[in-house]
Amino acid sequence: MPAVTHSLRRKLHFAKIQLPHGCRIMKNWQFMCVTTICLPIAAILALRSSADSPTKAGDVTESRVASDATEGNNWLLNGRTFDAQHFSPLKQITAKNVSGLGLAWSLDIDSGMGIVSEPIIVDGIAYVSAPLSKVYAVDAASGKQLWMFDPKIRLDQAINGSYSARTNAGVAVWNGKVYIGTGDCRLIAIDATSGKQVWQATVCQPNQTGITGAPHVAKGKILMGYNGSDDGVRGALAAYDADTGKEVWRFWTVPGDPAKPFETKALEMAAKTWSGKDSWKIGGGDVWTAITYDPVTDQVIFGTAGAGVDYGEFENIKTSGDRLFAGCIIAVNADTGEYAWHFQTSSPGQQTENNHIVMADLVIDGEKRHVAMTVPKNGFFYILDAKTGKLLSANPLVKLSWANSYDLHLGRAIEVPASAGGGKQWTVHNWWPMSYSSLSGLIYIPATDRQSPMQADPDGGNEWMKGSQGRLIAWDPVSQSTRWSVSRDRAAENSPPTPPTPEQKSGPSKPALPSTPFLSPTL
Amino acid sequence: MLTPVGWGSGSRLFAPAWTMATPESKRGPARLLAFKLGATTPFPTPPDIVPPVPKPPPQTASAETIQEGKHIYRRFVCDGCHSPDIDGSGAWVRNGAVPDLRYAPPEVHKQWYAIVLAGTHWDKGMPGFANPPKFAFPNAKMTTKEADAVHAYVIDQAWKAYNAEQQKAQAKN
Repeated sequence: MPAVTHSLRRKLHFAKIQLPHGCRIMKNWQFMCVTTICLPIAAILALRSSADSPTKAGDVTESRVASDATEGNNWLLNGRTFDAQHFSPLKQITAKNVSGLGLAWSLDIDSGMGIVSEPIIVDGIAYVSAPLSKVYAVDAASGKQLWMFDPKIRLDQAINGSYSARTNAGVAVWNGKVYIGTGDCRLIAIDATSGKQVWQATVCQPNQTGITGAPHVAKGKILMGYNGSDDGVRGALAAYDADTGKEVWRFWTVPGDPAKPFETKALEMAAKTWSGKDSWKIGGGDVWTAITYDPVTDQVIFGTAGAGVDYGEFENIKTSGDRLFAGCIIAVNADTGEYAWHFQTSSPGQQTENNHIVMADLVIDGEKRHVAMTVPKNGFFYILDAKTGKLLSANPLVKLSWANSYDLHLGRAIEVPASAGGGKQWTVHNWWPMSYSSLSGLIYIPATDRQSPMQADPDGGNEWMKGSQGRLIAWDPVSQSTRWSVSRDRAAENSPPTPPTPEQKSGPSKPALPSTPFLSPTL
Repeated sequence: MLTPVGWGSGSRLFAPAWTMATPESKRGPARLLAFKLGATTPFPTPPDIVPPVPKPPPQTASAETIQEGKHIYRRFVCDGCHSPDIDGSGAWVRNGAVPDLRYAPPEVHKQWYAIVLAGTHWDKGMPGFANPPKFAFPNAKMTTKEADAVHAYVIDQAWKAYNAEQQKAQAKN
């Protein structure tokens, strides 16, 4: 997010307002189903009873992930497959019969807040997390709750922890255990059969912050990050042995106290990109939920949030430089956590929070490439070579405020000067995952677009999202352009909902259209 | 097809109600919905019943104090959890919810200093702002005068909600 005024907390959070997927899906869910892709965080599954399967509960292994990749009866990982494509191969529900979908069951969760977690489905059992880091195991055929695990988190250690505790993005399941990150900084392993705790580890400092992201799995290890970039917390991604809870490696994303030795050589390099007295104190670079294990390169590729706390106890600290590895996509060795490469997704003054990373094989300029694709909050669609981190292409998803193109030779975005209204940017794409179909070659992105410039609250408050609209974009990554999109205005802004209208449609075989009408001619 | 429901994420706390799909979305249920071709189960009726706004204590502060309270409410990032303009942070009674201050019962108003300054609700996640915990974003200690101003602002917003409800009820009759 750009450095504007006000607290960074606002800016980051400002960005988190978009389509309220829950009620939207319920009310207007046909909009979400105009294609047969999965919903951003919904799991498409074969509704089978757990009784069908003779295997033990939570039986997720590398071989099962591989065999289920084509069958699609389960949703074993966050993202379904290691490449995080979030795409179900199931074909029962089609564009023709989708209107015949009806409610099979519903299960109320005792919570004062909504559920934002991606369900993990293993042999007919759905594992879902809820606010206060509670975990539910539910029979996917009947909706019957099998067990509930309450980590009994403490809310009285940090304001950030209390805040984080209200949201949880989901669980990981691996080899008979279910894993949850908690609002008070713990990673807990739960027995998938009994719902009882097996082990717990401390991921961050509970008097600083907490966890809202979902754990991810790589080679028998559980990967976990935590919150706090907008509150002066030093970010890290840590890997734990899935069986024992022992910390195997930890990649600090930004340098720590210069009085102490660097934890890694990579941090020594990163420290050179920070300047300003006490700049290290602002922390930054937290790892939220953008974590992908890529078996092809044997790397964990993950995204960090920006650095730039300029308020509260940090208001007098002025920092400059690239401030690595804040606002980056980073690749590390999956076994050791050793640095491989990084790519910063915005210029230093415009650091952004990074969202999940999708792996795929694409043919770009006639050459087959194994790539990492991501759309940070800043609204650019980036394609990186997975092995080297080299940027292959980048293009704005919608017309942006802060930049309008990317210069591959200069290696940076062509920014809009502040005099021309640049510098500010609403969040174009947030934590809702995007989905890639190798069948259509398209990537489906839930995004926020805006027809009018951002308006400052005359009362000195937040610059909220007046005039913004939810947009589902089918994006052609090879040509870096929109194939089609549908949009919805916010009902709460007193604009009556309009029926979803695909603006442009063309088959995958036709040449990609350069832009859709909502894009400005300047692009 | 299984989907979780409910406006989640931190937005439920820090975003104004008008950014929701509907103004009621902040109070929406937390539930799982499973869809199937040909299934006909009726959608469940939301279990949340919005309680009436309790009659707030009399407003004794000046308009200036109320306005000052609004700024202090922002400066201490109260709106980060209790929502901008106190327009509904979610629920009233449910476990895990941040309370909507307009619905504060009389006890809360009576214990204002204890809760806001001394932190008697810290176990529920509400710190005492007379001496906020480390890693608190407001880098200041709240004074009793500031707490009074915030209270005046809260009472003002509560009266607005209360009066709106009364007018609505009268219009119905």
